[in-house]
Amino acid sequence: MVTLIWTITNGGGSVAYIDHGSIPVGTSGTAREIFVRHDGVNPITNCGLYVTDYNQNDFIATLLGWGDEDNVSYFGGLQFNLDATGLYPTWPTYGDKSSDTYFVAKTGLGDSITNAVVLPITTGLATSAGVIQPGTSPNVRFKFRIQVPATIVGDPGPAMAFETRIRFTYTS
Amino acid sequence: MDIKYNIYYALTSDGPWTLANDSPLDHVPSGNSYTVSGLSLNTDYYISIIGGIVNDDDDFVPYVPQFVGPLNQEVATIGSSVVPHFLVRTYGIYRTSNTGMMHMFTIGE
Repeated sequence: MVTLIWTITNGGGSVAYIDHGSIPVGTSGTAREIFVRHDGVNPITNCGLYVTDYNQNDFIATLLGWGDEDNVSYFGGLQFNLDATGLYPTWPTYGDKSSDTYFVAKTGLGDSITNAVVLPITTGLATSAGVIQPGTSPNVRFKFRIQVPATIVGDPGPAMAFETRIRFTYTS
Repeated sequence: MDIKYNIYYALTSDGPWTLANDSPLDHVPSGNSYTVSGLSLNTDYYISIIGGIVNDDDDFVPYVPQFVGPLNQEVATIGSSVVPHFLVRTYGIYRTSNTGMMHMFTIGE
């Protein structure tokens, strides 16, 4: 059965997690480029990005709340740049949260499997949005970063964990 | 009599098979899709699409015996002295799936 392979280098070995380190308040962490491929013999389709809890620790509610904020002091969150072919020129902001090539995960956008953001061709897809061909090289890729708001409400806790996922369908 | 289609899914190739559509589907051009609802995540399904007709009693009558062996996206054409028709029989494994990468960070001062 087909397996999705997440890596941090083109064609590299599978990586199960990324430690983004310590991110000061009011700043964005280093954008990390993530590569995705699969081992199926046919294309996978309907590929869409979303975020979810890791191990049901429920940090995701706080992180999505950062993306919901319209106030610059409270805005932040999990940000995706899907313009690999354009060399990632633009990131979401509190006043411009999404476009065809970037988005911040927030309520109703990338927050669930049903609200997954379909991968655009600018992630390096060969032909159609949401379709990753077998053996694609260079791999489908995007950049991901975490922005910590300048003002933190409450005590979110020590290390925060969550998961990025791609939903897909595969027909043998 | 119009050509219709039924879509079935199952967890194993031996079934039991569940009818996915509420009523037989009309023919659609190649490339169109039909969304099968009610499937579980991270689960492999066998999918079979069977062509047939709806008879005067509103019963769906498949052109072939259903679920006979693994046929991988086979498209065959058969003829009839009464009504020209064709058969589409697809047998594949469909997965509705998700898989992820864990991220972690701490908030600095």
